[in-house]
Amino acid sequence: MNCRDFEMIITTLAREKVLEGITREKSLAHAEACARCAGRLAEERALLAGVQAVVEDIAGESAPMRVEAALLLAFQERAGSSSHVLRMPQSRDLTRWMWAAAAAAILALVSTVVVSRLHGRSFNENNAARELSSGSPAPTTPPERIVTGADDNRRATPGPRRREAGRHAILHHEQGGREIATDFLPLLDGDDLSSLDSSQLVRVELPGSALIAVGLPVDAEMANTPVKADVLLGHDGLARAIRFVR
Amino acid sequence: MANSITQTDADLLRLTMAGDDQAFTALYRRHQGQVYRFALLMSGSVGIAEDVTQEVFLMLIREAPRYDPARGQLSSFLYGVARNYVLRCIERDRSYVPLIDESEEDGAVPVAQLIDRDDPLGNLTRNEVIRLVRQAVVALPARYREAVVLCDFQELSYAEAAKVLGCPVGTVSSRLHRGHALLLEKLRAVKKSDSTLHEPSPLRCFA
Repeated sequence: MNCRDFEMIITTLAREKVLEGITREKSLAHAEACARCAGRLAEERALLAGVQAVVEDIAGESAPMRVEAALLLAFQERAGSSSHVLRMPQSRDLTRWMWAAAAAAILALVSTVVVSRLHGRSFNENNAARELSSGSPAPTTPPERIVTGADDNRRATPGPRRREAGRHAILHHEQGGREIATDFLPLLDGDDLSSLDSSQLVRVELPGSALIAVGLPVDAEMANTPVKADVLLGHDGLARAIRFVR
Repeated sequence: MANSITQTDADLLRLTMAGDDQAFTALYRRHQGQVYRFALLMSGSVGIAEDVTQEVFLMLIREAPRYDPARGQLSSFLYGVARNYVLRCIERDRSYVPLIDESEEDGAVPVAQLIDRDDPLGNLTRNEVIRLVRQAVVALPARYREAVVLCDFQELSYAEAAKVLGCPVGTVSSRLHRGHALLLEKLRAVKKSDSTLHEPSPLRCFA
């Protein structure tokens, strides 16, 4: 082996990567005999030691958690939209509905956190009032209404009757069977739902923990279970009220 | 989802494509570090490394079927995607990387220049070594930098690096050799300027 041949394999030799046994022996023998090539090998090894120091230095570095959170959100949005989590009337523009529903779900979650603090007291007062009027103990589950058709849908719907047709259409489209729904819970502080001129109802799925946010009792198991909810959107696109459906 | 540690990339990817967010999270956590560090070493910028990591996995969310297991490991596929994004980012924002000295691109350094030199990293503290090596790597021309980062820092085999870079194994080997030569030159130059900088200058006595 001459110096030129040695130079050809020096990178591999210094990296301690697999070399044919005989090639390795010849290379090392050449380095022992040639001071210049021995110096080159030492230099390469010093460089790789520096590289190794960098590898060790950055071994723990990784993308910050916000990247994972953003990606997970993007994944869930994509998975949600492709698995028909949102069930919309077929006559509507699906894209518009999906955007509206996604926005509503986010708004609902944010709003419910605020509402749970601001309305926590009034919600308890409502329960207390029901308890007093019925003479029965306070319910451990949310007030429920059975929604089976036009009539039940009307009962489950707050506010003026002019909104009922649209809602009835959605429910009628979605199921012929029975659904159990809570009352509509306002999401904005002091919002009068009966004052809404127009509205839309959007069916979404939320984690069970969303029930906690509005002050409803949820056990630990249910916190991660998806729950269906209807979000009432005002004409301005803001989520105004939510009810949970089973 | 079963224990994600024991699941293969192919299993996790299949579940990811079916909408399983736990599988996606497991896949992300398994590979994000490699992608991030590759982008960090290639660009020298934390911001670019974050952006590239995000873009790579967004691509996986949108276009997972693009990955063909028959063509190699998922990590190689992700490196390939990351490489494209990094090069695009560097092209877009050259302020992160010193301009490439084109004279270094193709001219071979004579072997004689590489020998009988001082240890390029001798007498430096560990932190200085780390700083100088990282600077020198970022200053390499892209084609050598990616070979050095993949083979030396990410410890890919020549064959794996060749798949990522889409070139023959021999090309990876020669680029790595050339990259080392350039690194040594840069480190010597920096060390020389540092030692000149720290040489005691003669003080004039005004007494």
